[in-house]
Amino acid sequence: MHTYLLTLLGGLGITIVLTLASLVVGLLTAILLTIGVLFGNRLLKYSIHAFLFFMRGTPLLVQIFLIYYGSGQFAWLRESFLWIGLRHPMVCAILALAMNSACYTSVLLQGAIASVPKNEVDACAAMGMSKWLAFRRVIFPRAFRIALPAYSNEVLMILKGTALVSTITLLDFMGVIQQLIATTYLPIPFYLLAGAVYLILNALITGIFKLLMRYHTASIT
Amino acid sequence: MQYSRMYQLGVFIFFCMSMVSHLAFAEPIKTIRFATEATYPPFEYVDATGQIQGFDIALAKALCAEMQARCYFENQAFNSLIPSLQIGRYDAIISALGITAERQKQVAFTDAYYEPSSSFVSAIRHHYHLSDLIGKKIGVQISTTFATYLEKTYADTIEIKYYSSIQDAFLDLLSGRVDAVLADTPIALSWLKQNDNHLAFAIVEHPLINHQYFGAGYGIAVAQNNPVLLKALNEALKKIKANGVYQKLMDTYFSDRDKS
Amino acid sequence: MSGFIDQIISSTVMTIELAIFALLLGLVVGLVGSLLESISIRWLRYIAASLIFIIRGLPEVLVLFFIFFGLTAVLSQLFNTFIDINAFAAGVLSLGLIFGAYASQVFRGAFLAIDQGQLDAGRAVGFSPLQVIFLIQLPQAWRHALPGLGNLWLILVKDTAIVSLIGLPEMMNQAKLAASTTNQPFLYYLIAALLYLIITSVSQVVIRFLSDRANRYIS
Repeated sequence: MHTYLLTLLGGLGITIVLTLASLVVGLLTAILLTIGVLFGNRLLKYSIHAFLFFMRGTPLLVQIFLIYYGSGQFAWLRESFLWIGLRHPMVCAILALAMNSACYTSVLLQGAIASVPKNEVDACAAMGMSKWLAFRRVIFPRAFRIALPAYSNEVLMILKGTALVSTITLLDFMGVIQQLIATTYLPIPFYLLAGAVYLILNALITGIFKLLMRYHTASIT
Repeated sequence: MQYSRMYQLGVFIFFCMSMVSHLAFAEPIKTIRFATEATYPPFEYVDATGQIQGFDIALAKALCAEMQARCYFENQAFNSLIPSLQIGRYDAIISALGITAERQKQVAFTDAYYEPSSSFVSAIRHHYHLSDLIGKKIGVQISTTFATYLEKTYADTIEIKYYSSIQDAFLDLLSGRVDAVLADTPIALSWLKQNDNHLAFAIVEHPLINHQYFGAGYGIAVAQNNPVLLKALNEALKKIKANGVYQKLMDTYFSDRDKS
Repeated sequence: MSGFIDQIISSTVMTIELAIFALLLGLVVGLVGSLLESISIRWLRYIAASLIFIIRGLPEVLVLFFIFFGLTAVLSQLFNTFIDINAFAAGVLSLGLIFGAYASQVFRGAFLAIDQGQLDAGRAVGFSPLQVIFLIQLPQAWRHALPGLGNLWLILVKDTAIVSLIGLPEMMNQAKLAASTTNQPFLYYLIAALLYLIITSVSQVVIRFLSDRANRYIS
């Protein structure tokens, strides 16, 4: 029984690590993508829009398979330095989850930036700030606060997305649950356990964001 | 005179009773719903037209012909076969299912219709022997007898990678993410045959036979509360083994079995 | 190769069927859910809110696996006769429930956006509560609900890929089959991805058309 507990904790660890890593990489990439869309030349803008279109229009599962199994198809890829990372399911999982999240987050940020109150933007121009300085010091921080509630939703989507990685041999919490059910033939208790754990993680993330929002909006009159 | 009349009456009653009992206990099975996971050529697979084919399917059809029953086949994920049988969704499972003590707690098996061996497949250039597999990454299908064999026999000396489909494991063998794959020998042979895979990959040393893990053979699984179907399938199996139908099926699907 | 592509394309029919059935179930669940969430009976409200909270908080795979593997066992034991939930039905049920849980929030917002005066006028001319719902609220709420529902539909279409994990022969599994037989996973998963892209893009066009139509009287 306590080997079960150890295995479950191991799986939970993978889920948490995956979520955090994808979150960080995804957010950084999202910011880069958003900057590219706002300040880039036409080619960059079109490429990023095409990328966003593809990632938001296709299922996460396909993206995971494309990156993991798809990358193994090409000999030139396997012999390149990229293979050092791509051969590991963990790297592929983080890559897929991060890219997926980055695209949704970027669209979110673009919407939030567009809804920054115009008078603040005008004030920056009136003071003679360059577009980039205005963006860096005023617009982006403001937009981030606007996006925070919707972004909390996006983080929850990453958490749910991690449940798919057992398809590429990564034994996250959901994968361990499936493995234990396969050996014990007891689906109901294990699925109920899985449900409870994911709901607790959900509550934790929601709670953290509530704290974040309270801290942030406290500084706004 | 009275005695003979009573005797006639007795014979008549006995005849009626035996007819009734014959009808009551030997009710013919009309339809059988089989479940299988059709991702395991040559035992079961989905062909280019979307039909489920394979040795298991052909064998089941031969048994049904013998029993004069109609059989239906449905494709299900491997993990869900036994649970589905237990709750009555299907009448039988034929899916290269090894007869093991563990499984016999859950379902009833017919006599073995096939004795399995399993093989490690790896790249030819590695020149692996079975002893070289220590410390390597081995791919296997989750919740199969092969997975249990690896877990119990090699424990922590190897790194086991679990796949929901053996075909995914082979894809990772091709790309080098795993050093070897443990699979059913016919599946391994079938995979080696396709796409010229045998030019770069081969079975490590020889196929392994292990009754403890790979079971005493493959059987058709039937719910434990269905002895009628079990008996009917066993009798049909005996008949086709005796009349040559079984041997013909073996030759069709495992013609190169002795080449390793 | 063309044989495999044909099969993948014909499996898109299965995917779209699954999505449409789940949509229908989801709309009903969403409407019922939004009504239950604002009903005056307290315990009913709490149960509805809890169920919606739970379904929205779980990974889709978990809901699917629970319904496919777990619920069939539970229901069969409960009613002492086996109740069949095949892969398609399990897919429709789970995706429909998930859609409905999120849709209930969309409907709530949409109903709240309708001016109270409309409802009062309805009751004033003698409409029964049900008539108020169907003749006054729904037609007007539709306009507000459409963007949210449209988004949920796109998510639903993409979630159908998960149903491949319980063996349904839809696009993902056809692609997997082709990929394994030809050792070309990237090619066939890319084809599947492009087909999903076509479905979501066409959907977005349809949603925009419906949105324009719904807002045609609004300046």
